[in-house]
Amino acid sequence: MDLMAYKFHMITWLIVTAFQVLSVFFLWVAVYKNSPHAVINGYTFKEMISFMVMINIFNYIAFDGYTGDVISDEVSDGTIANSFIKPISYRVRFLATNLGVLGAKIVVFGLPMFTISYVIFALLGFIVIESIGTFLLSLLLFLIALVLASMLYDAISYIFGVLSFYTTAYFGLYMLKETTIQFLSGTLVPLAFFPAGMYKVLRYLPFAGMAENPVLILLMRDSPLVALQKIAIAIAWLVVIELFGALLFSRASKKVTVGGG
Amino acid sequence: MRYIKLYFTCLKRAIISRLQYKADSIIGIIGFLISNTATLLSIYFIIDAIPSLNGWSIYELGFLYGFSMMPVAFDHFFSDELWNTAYWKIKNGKLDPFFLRPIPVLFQIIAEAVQPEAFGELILGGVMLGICAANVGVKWSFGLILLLVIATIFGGILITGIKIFFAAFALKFKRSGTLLQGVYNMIGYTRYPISIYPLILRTLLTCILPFAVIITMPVEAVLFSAFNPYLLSLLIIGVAGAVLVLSVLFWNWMERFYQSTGS
Repeated sequence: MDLMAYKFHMITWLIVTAFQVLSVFFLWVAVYKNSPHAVINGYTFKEMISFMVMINIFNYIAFDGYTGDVISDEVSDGTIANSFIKPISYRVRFLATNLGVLGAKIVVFGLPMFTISYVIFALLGFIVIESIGTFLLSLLLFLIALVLASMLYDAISYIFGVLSFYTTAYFGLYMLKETTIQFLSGTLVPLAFFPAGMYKVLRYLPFAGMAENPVLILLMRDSPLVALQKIAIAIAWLVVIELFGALLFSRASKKVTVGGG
Repeated sequence: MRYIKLYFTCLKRAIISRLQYKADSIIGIIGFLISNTATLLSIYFIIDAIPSLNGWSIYELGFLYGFSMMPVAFDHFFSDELWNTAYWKIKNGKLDPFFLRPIPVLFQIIAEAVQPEAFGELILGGVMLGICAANVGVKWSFGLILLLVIATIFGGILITGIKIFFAAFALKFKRSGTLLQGVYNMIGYTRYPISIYPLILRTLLTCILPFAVIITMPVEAVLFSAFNPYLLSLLIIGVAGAVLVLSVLFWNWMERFYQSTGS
């Protein structure tokens, strides 16, 4: 809720994001102008633009760096010691916070931003809604995929936070985490643009489920069956990553050194 | 003179304080390498799908990207603490002690930290520059090399100046990190040929936030002989100096509005 307290910060954030999307927009305009084909790797210009806008909004809604930031702060200032004596699991505490923040973000930002862009794109003909039934089904599946994406991100954020037990500093880990996720989740460029071999592998990694897959579901590029498959893959990965995180924590917590409080 | 000596004392202290977290520095360097490689690969994947981007081949774009990292790295090494100031330092009341010391606040902030991760960018940028220049077949001359060195150093100074200017807003508004981030991100615009943007953005990038002057124009001078390297070097020095002076004046003026958050 630190977020709400600083309005100046919020407004500037919107401008910042808009400007970032704008540069990508002009890049894509130039790319399609220079291209001899109207469809590049399965995307028309209109589809590409709606994809890029939606995935950027999605990033803001689904990803919250809180977990990793707080763990590393607690490691560096020593307050982590308190967490070891509290009767609540360290992981559950962050999971709950993350879901709370996600809920607030969906209501306050996600709903208006997604709705406005979706309506604009639909009016411009960038998104074609074939039937209300498919639309509603996609919307439902999208919501599930969004929650899963946020939980996947949080689980990975947690692992990187716990890794700071070893490094006692977080900046490097943070960079590593953000970049890997941005690149492999299709945020920088759709996964279909990757070389064929990489694309085949990336589709089954957890990163695809963290941004590209939910957005493709929202844009109705996937049939409900394919969407369900993708959701199943995301759930499977979530279980694996959480297990890994728990294992890592139990090992790392023996390592933790507290540098005074 | 006293300040130069003081700066080096602080620098030494900052490096020692960074070395406390050796593992993090190494991971940071790797992080920056991966981050830039990822962006670069994305550009490659996109451009690979088309013949050329407004006449720029993939190697020419790589050269542009590689060079864009040099001034950024230079600024990055020296003035990273400005981020901390704009985002958290003032809000958390940690700037208060700075005002009690008999040294300019801005000087203390700059001297507070260094960022060894910058070497990661410098190395990657240099390697890319070399590889792409060889593939494009750049005809190097003394003037062009001088131009790139000047653009790196003074470009870094210009970026620092702009960072000071926008971090100064935090003195009044407690927090200007996002604003600073937004302006800083505009550097990313110069990774692509400036001709892909509409006139208004091109004007913004050359006249108001002159990142194109320190990145795009030197590269165009090297690749397409678009500018005289000596005149362009002078222009870069002039613009960077002006921006730095203006920003420091603005910072000092904004200091008058500083109020502690009391927390």
